[in-house]
Amino acid sequence: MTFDLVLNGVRRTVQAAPGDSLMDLLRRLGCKSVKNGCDDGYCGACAVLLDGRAVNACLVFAARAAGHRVDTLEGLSREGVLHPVQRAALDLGAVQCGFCTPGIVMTALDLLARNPRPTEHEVREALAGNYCRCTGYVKPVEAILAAAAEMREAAE
Amino acid sequence: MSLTGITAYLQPGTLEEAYGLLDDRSIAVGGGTDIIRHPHIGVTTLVDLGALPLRYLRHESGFAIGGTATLSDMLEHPGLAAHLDGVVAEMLRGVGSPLLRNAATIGGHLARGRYSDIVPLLLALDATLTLFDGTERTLSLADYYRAGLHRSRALISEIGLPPAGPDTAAAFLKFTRVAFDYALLNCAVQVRLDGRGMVEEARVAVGETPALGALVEAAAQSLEGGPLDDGRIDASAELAAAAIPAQDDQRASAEYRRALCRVGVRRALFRARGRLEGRRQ
Repeated sequence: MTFDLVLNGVRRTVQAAPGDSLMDLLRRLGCKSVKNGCDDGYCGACAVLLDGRAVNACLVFAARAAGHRVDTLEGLSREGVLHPVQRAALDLGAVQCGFCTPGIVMTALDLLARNPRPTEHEVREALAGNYCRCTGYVKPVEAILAAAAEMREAAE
Repeated sequence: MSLTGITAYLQPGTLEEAYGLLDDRSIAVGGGTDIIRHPHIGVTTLVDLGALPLRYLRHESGFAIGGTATLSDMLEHPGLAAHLDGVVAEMLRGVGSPLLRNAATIGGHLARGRYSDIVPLLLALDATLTLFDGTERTLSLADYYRAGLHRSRALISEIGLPPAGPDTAAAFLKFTRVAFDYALLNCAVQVRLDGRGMVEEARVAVGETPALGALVEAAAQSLEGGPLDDGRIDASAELAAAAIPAQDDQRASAEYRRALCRVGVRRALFRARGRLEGRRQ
């Protein structure tokens, strides 16, 4: 089947089988930040934004995105400048092997869009569906809190 | 996980149209988060309900929740989050992960009818469902499962929660091995007191026995007509432990589940009583 979606701000006409997951479609389209960690909704490595909300792309049918907005990590940097959440993840040592990082960043964007001033507890709750098998959970939380503070300053 | 063998993905715009598309070779899709994880023998058509105008949550005298509202829509609704001391939000925070709750729909969850913390709580809160199977009708959630309608093609268009006054309190709790897991057992209670502080109506529901949550009538009836004191709470919990259809499975033994049930129902009733007492101060 053929349908349109808005991928990282650009309208695209794409082809997918009716049973395809959004994860498989996005990876075929070149969005390799969408990681296939478990293909079963546990790990969160494939998290993307669907109409602004973070979802496991492996658990959503690709065709569900027809006519909707999908955002992946590929769309975050602007003219080579990283998004504050990406920058903070790098600067504060939140990236170990990096496999879980895109999913964590996308989940953080969903949180910060709804809650610009999250507590540490709220960040931890938001990340409940994002596994890091390097078990580096402390640094990502610190990075998201730092990025939130920076984004608030930039907004003022 | 992409599904193979699917040849059509349809997005009807009305309930009538959606229901008309359901047959032996098709399956209705709410969020799709469970359907996409399992092969469906003989199914070739997915009927996506996402385009139906059912993603709403209205706070009227009680709550009217559209069938395709996501679990996150419910968790983030301020009125529902405050309902009955936040018991619905408290339960939902332990269901899946935020990523899953952002996609999973309440109608899809209820129609799936297995592995649920949501079902026992909604049973305790006396939820109703509005179904469409050619005509629209409303029935209790308890009757929906009693009649096995979750195995039918009936589509859930709305979930209703009745209003609750200051003399009503509820509580939910579950036992799990780790936080992000299905419960070994879960239970929910709702208690309404009369003007003299006696229990006018009680509802006790226990789930993951490992069967889907169900009301335990004997445990509820034993509470009615008397004070919500320690002795009557203990007696109700004992009755619940004896009455549930406990079975062994890979998660827990039947014996352990009865022990959990005794403790769980007692704690839930204590918690509900604490909430009622908190309001009088």
